[in-house]
Amino acid sequence: METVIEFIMKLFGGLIFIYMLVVIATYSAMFLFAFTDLRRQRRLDRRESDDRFIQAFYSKPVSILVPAYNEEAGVVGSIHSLLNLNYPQTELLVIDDGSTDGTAAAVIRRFDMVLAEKPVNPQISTARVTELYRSRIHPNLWLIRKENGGKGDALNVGINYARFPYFCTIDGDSILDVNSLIRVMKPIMTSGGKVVAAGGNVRIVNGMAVDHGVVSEIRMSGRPLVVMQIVEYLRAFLMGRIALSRLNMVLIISGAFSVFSKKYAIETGGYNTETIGEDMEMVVKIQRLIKERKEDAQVEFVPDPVCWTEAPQTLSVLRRQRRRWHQGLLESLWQHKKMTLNPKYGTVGMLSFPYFWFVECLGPMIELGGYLYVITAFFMGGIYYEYAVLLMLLFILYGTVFSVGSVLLESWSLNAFPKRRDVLRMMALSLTEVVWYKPLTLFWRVEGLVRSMFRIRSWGDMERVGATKGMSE
Amino acid sequence: MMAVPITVVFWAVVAMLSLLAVLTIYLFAARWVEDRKQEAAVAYVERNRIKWYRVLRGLEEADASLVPENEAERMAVEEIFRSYMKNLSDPEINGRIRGFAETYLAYFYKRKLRSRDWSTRMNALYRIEDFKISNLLEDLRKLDRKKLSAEETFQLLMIELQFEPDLFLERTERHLGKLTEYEARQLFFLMPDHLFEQAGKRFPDLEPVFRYALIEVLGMRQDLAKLPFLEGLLDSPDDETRIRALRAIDALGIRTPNRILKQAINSTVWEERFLAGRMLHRLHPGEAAVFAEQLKEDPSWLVRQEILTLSKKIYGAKTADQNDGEEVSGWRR
Repeated sequence: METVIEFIMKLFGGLIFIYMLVVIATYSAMFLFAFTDLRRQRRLDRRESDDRFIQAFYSKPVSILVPAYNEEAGVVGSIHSLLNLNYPQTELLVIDDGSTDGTAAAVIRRFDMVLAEKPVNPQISTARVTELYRSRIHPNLWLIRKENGGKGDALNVGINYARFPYFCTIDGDSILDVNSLIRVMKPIMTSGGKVVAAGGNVRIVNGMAVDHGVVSEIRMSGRPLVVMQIVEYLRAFLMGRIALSRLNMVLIISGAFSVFSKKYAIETGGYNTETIGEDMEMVVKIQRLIKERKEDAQVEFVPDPVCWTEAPQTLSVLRRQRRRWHQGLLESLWQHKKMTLNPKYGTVGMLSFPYFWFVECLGPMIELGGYLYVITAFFMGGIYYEYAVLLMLLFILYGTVFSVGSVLLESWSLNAFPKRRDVLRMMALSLTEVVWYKPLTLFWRVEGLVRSMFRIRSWGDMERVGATKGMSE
Repeated sequence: MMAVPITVVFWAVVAMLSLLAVLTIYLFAARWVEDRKQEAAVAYVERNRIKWYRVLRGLEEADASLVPENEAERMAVEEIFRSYMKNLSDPEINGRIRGFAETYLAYFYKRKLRSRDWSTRMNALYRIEDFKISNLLEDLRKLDRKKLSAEETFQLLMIELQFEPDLFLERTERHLGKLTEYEARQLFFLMPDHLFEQAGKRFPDLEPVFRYALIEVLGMRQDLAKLPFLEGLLDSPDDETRIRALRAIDALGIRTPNRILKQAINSTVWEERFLAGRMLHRLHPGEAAVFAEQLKEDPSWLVRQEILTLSKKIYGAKTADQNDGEEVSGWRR
């Protein structure tokens, strides 16, 4: 019996050890990619390049789609930020997905909206549109009210009503920096249509001073849970996405801030209304379309343009969010499983899909197993104690070192948090990540996996605190 | 058995954390230096704001106190110049900025052009273009001979277009492979007329992407004399050339000749029919209605929508979009 237990413990320990080594090697490579990329642009005067792109003659007009479901707390601030954008030609479509709170009323009142007509090209079937309003103050601002059909359905309505060849999706609780649209559109404009989708960097707005939809002062939230998410976002966006983008292997660009070619979005059938992670699903479908048609097109992540979004402030809301994200990830990967290790899909199939399956999707199960293993091994003592120490050290190397490294890399290259105290705080919290935040999120992600297997689906609405609403709203 | 890996991993963790600690100290020290530079730059602006106003307005001569002595002061002078150039369009002020930059800043940029750091070189190229510094041409030529990024190449061409327009086309041809249509469009648009004419003469030899850019710019420049040329392109077997030519004709803002309209309306390419629909807005209502009749059952939704908007205009129905002439103008840009 003892030999069996010993064998199982050794086998499991060995598996986790190998997994950790593979993950650490992958993240190290991604970190190096991000470092070289950011170092190249670190000193670039971005105002100069922004100025050169701002001329209406050369830029492409964009329809901005803002799906909103019960976003009463943040939608007005979000619209203000979008009206402030430094971009020559946009139209702004707010799609109220059958909200049960005062979302529509707040928008109608604040922007003096009246019933209007707008041409619609119903290329994607959607839930019924009930009313359409246009602002008398800002004629390029529209509100489309529709029956509830989910975020994907709301975005599809937006695509049908959009008049421009590119559309940008922004969450109803998010705000954009004034130059973010011009920066995210830059690769699309300069590539001559080769870049068909681009995503920007998403940062957490909780704690910041916001005035009429503009982040007026960088202030870090006092809540460790929020600060930990800030670090997590930095790590994910700077390390993972930059590297994947350089290799044209991007499978996720955040739905909170991304731009798509309308033509491609329609050709993929629009947003999937059945999946939980419609943003990832759209990117995967576009990548699939590109590879199947053997087109020289690509999806790009741009680290500089910033979208500020509200993060969960309580464990229960964060749990629901992470569960949902993981379900969305698994559903997308499963839906397009034929791309996995399929040479027809190039690096997306051969590298990106295996990475997302192994590290992002199933990784939490192995890592959580690792945590349980460490606890069990400590109690068992003897040789297992050494295994436990080894694994714990790997967890520290993997979790803490990469998190602190990301904070430093961001601070060195983009300097989003200029106060030294904030940087130190993020670094100090990163050192504790491995003992509380990491196991919690791993557990919730595994929960998401289990719920996917049992087909338990719920959106788990996020309770907004109106972090984007700001002082003067 | 585990002793070796544990020791290795332990020291790896210690080494990584130590490295991060060192990097943190470096980062904070670098930030401290940067903050001091910013303070010095702000102090320079505060000290010399009024003096610069008088100098740039030509009320007094620049004296030695304005000459930047270090990086921070150079940054401050650049900020002052940028703000004047961005907010005022006065050739005399621009001339004074150029004179000062050529005398006192060119040396900085000469050094920066030799930097191994890409963003430092790019910033120098931006400043040379902004301040129209002409005495670094030799350095720019040297740079041109090196292996450059696409961004540097384009920026270099923008500068050469200002200072050596006659050599520009020859140089551009060397770099054609690196330029995108978007960049070609900017270069064509900024070209002096005689150069643009020369580029037009080489039209048949240009790569398609540059041909498209040139057609677009013909429309942007709104030169009516180019109508026959554009009309000639409508017989091209290439769909994209015909579409671009039609769009350029539309951008000329004239009443489109009937023969062009007829050809576009009968095209099998929906984009051409759509553009024809848009051109009908400039016709007399009665005349437009006759053409519109042919397109009102068009298989393309966009064409039908265009005709619907036109019909509302002709028959006086007022919709929310009627005042919004841009409704579909962004199509396919």
